[in-house]
Amino acid sequence: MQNETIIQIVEGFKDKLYRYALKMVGNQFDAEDILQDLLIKVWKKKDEFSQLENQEAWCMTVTRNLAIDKIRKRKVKTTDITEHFGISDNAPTPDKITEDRESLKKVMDILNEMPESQREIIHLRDIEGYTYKEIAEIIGMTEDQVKVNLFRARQRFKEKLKVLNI
Amino acid sequence: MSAYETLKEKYWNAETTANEEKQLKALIEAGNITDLTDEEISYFNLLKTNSNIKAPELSWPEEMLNTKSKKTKTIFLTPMLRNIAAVCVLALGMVFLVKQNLSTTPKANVIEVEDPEMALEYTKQAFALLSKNYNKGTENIKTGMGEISKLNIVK
Repeated sequence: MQNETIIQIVEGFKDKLYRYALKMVGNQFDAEDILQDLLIKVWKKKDEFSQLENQEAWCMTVTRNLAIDKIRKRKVKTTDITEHFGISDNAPTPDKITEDRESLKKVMDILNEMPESQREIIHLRDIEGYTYKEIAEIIGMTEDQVKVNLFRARQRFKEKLKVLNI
Repeated sequence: MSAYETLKEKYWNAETTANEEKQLKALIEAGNITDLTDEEISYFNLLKTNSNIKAPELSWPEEMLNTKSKKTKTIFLTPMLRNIAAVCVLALGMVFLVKQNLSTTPKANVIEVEDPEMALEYTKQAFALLSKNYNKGTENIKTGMGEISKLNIVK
């Protein structure tokens, strides 16, 4: 496989790789480092890469492993998500903005309390839209385990929201 | 329960397919599902915002960007070996068949005689055998023709 073809393939899903790395490590600098490390791995293993059935899943798995290595080497500080992402687009008044921030904070607190595996599955399913089979391949679980974890994550979220709104 | 409510319940129970989840998110974004809590709205907004994050420009290793990369041809050994094996089997089969054919072909009995008088004697015997069988054949024909004439079929 030509170098240009490999570059084209990886460029096609680089956003997913970056978002996954960002979700894992919590800051854009480390996420960018991980992405660069991934490119080097792809370059070094380009012959093997050409033969893969699912190149995207392989890249996602490598990204995950690189992120885990990075996390192990340092203590992860969870960033305030509201610094990075926009809130509701329909927030015309300051009161509404405050309300939205509070709601978002509650959501983030619930998500942060979840086990890492459940957060990972929510990211891969709800943000990246992967199937259960693809998620299982990326994180090294069976499909059934993925389904169970997703069920638990969403149920936990639903129950917590109920408690918050009583 | 409305169809939207049902879909939302299915979502929280992790019973939705990937397409149903896309549909649910699209409905929420379009404002078709109104009975959502602020937290649910924030949650789905967060998912949407996260999915819009873009990666920065990638810096590929210099060697990969070198467009004058030598063209390599990938040779897959398994199909090649399979073809070679098939040809060998075919060739072996043909050799076997030819050998089989040669062995079943009856060989003529050949006697080598050096003495010319003996050779003449053998030849005479062979012709005598031939004429004996020939005469037998002609006698049979004569007998048969006689019978046919007696029948008065053809006048």
